[in-house]
This record gives sequence, C-alpha cells and structure tokens, in this order.
Amino acid sequence: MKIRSPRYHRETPQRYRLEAAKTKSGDVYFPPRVYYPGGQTAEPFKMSDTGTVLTFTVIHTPPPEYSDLAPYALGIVELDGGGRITTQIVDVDPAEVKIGMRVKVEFRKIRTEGSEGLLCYGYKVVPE
Amino acid sequence: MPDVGIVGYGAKIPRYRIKAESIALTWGADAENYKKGLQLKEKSVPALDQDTITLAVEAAKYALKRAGIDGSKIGAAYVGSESHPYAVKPTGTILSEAIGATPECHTADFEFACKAGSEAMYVVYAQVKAELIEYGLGIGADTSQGAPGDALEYSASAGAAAYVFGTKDIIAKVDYTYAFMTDTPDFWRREHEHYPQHAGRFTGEPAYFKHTLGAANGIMKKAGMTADDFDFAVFHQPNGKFPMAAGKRLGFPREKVETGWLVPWLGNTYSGASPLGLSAVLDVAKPGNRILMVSFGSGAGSDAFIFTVTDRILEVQDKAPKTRKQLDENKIYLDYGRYAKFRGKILRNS
Repeated sequence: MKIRSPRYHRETPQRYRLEAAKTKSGDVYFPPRVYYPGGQTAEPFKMSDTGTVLTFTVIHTPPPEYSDLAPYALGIVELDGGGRITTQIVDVDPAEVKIGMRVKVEFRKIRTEGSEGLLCYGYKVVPE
Repeated sequence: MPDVGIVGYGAKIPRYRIKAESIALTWGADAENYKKGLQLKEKSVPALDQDTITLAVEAAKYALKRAGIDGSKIGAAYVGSESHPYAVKPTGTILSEAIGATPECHTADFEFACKAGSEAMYVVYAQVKAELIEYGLGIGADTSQGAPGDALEYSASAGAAAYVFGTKDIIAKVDYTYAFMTDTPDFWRREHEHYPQHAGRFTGEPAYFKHTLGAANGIMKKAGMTADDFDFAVFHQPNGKFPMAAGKRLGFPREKVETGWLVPWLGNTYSGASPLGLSAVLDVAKPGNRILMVSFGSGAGSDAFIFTVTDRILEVQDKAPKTRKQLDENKIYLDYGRYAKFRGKILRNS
C-alpha cells in the first residue's frame, strides 16, 4: 500500500519529533487535537524520549510490508513526563520484552514502499 | 575573531555485529587472513530499519545534547555519506526536520567516498568562522556495502558521528585545517551499481598513504608541529593495518593512535570512520589535549584538523552514550544468513 505524500508530510511533527499538546490540567494529547474535552485549551508539548512499556504483544503474522521484521513486539509505551505512544519495540528478542521495561525512543525507518516509493521514517523504541 | 570549534559531538553505532569467521565460512576463505593481516575481527551491521538517515539523526541528537542547544539553533546541517538512502531527495532535509532545525537551515548532502563526513565538518566550521551561522552540524554517516565474498565485505559497516560547531562553550577549538587532494582512481561506484569497485593494492600507497601522509605532514608543517606535540592522532581506518602504519610513518607511538582506532571491532564506517574515531578520543580527552585528525576518501583526498580540547569537555562527556560503550556492549551477533537478509543480499521477487 502506498502512502500519499501529503499525509506523510502532515504527520512529520508527530512521527519525527513527538510533538504533542498538554492541557492546563496536565493531560497530554498525542497527536494534538483541534478541540479538547470540556472546552480546554492546550499548549504544544514535546514528549520525552524515554519511557516504560505499559503493555505489548508479539506479532508473528504481520501485514506483508512488515514481514521481514517478524516476529516483532508492538507495545504501548508511557513516556516520562506524560503521553503514550503505540510503537514497535526493536533491537531486542521479543521473548525478552517485559511490561515495565525501560525503553528509549529512536528514529527508525518505519516502512519502505518497494524500490520506487517513499521511505517513511518515525519513532520506535529500544531497550534503554 | 572569536575561536571556532566543536561545541557538541555524538556517535551512533548499531547493535548488530557479524564476525569475520561467519563471512569466511560462507565463502570458503581463511578468517585468520583478515583477522591478522588486515586486523578486522568483526563489524557493525545496521538493523533492517536503520539507514544513513536514522544513524545520522541519532548521532545529531546526542551532539545537540552535549552542546546543550536546541535543534532550532542549527543554521546549517550537512551529511556526508556514500549511502544516502535516496538517489534524489536530500538526507539533510529529513535530518533537519527530525532535529527541529527547519525551516531556517541550510542543508546539502556530501559525497566523497570515505571523506564526506570530514568534508561536512570542514564546511560547517568555515560557515561558523565566516559568521554566516551561529551553530552548524557536520555529520559523517554510512551503511556501506561490500560485494558478497569480496575483501570489502569484511570491513564495510555502519555508524555515524555528528559534530556541532560554534563559537560559544567550545569543547575542542579548531587550531588549523588543511586539505590535500588529487584525482586518483583507487575506488569507485558507478550509478545504479550495488557495490563499489576497487583497484586492489593500488588503494594503498598511491591512494590512502599518499593523501593521509600528505595531509598530516601538510597540517603539521603549517602549524609548526611534530608528532610529539599531539596527545592523540585519528586517521581514516579502512582496515586495522593502514591507520597504524600511517601513524608509525608519521612518528606517532601506537598508544596515541589506539584510542581512536575502532576498526578491528567496528569495521570501516566509511564517512563515519575518522569522525567516530575522533568521538572515541573526545570521550576520554582531558583539557589541554591536542588532537590530530586526518580523514581519507577514495578518488582521492584527505582533510586534516588540529584540535585543542578545552575545560568544558569534562562537563559533556557523560551527557550522551560514549562510543566505546556502544562498540563493546549490548552486541547482537548475526549469522551470515540473517546478515544477508539485513543487507538485502538475498534475491527475491518483488
């Protein structure tokens, strides 16, 4: 499946730099929204590049474009200072991934559109 | 005119490795020839989701951390590599976007075989010195390829090193620069070819040694210095033997070269090679230390720098992962089959 350039481009602040939004009550929204619950306003918030694995699963039968990576761990990571991301957990044997494991965000290639299309980059996490 | 120098530095080495034995076993070669002759024991291998851009971004983030500045302060970002992922689309735009340097940033991708990283440093230094920018990033990064079974397959590896240059809070002042270059056909890769060609033994004396020694002697003459005036020397390291031989011929005792000599365990990271060697030296350098760095790129040429380390080095060394630690710890070894898959060497229908 090919991704359209405008969509990929639109998402780079989040995929490249983890740009989120934080409300006055301290809730972190990633990606930022147009409207927030209760009519709150939010300020731009750069999320941290370290965190903890909140939960994960191991993918053995991935979509075709991720088949070379299987088996891989896919998890939800709670970042230090607020915010959660759904991400691959790489540079580790999936059997060694644990809930509560400390991880660090790294810039990685997320997908490749064959030999002609875009190279799509973004975040993944690795053991800290 | 204020002093110009390195304000922050960062290194990134992938976790994956392959041993010389695994490559030799596949091709019926004698691993000891490479381990003893060329002093190549193992090399780094990029993960399936790592390339020149991702390694450069991680090294740049560490460099910014040590510099203590935000990416938006970077006025120029140059990436030197012979493995830019796109044929047409800059590595530098993706890197600059990832570190938050856009839109007020000048960028260009450099290519000069293994010298492209020091070229990026050279140009960024000149831009800061000309007061065109406050801070700039010069990066050497590669995921180099050696043809299956070729001698290059034992050395071609992956890694990146990034340097922030500026005038404030310098950790290593640039005292002198020097460039030495001729048209020498020792190594090349034509467009659309997967692997480079090299001229065998011609890559030694007329190429590596002529330019490396030419640049080292040239800069020392310019500075009025000899090997005795330096605490460390870093040379381009296509294998373990060449940089040690270059150091010996220039009068450097082995211990002054060993700190930045990573190639026996890292392989040749091409554009990242001498910049990564310099990062390993800065990791342990003390205030007042003087460092000679000489790159080499086939085609062929060398850039030389003389740095003097400042007191601030001690404040930044522990702010990001050190080079030797990345090299020595948390390694994941691959067999040749997985290595071939990681490097796209297995023929498949698309």
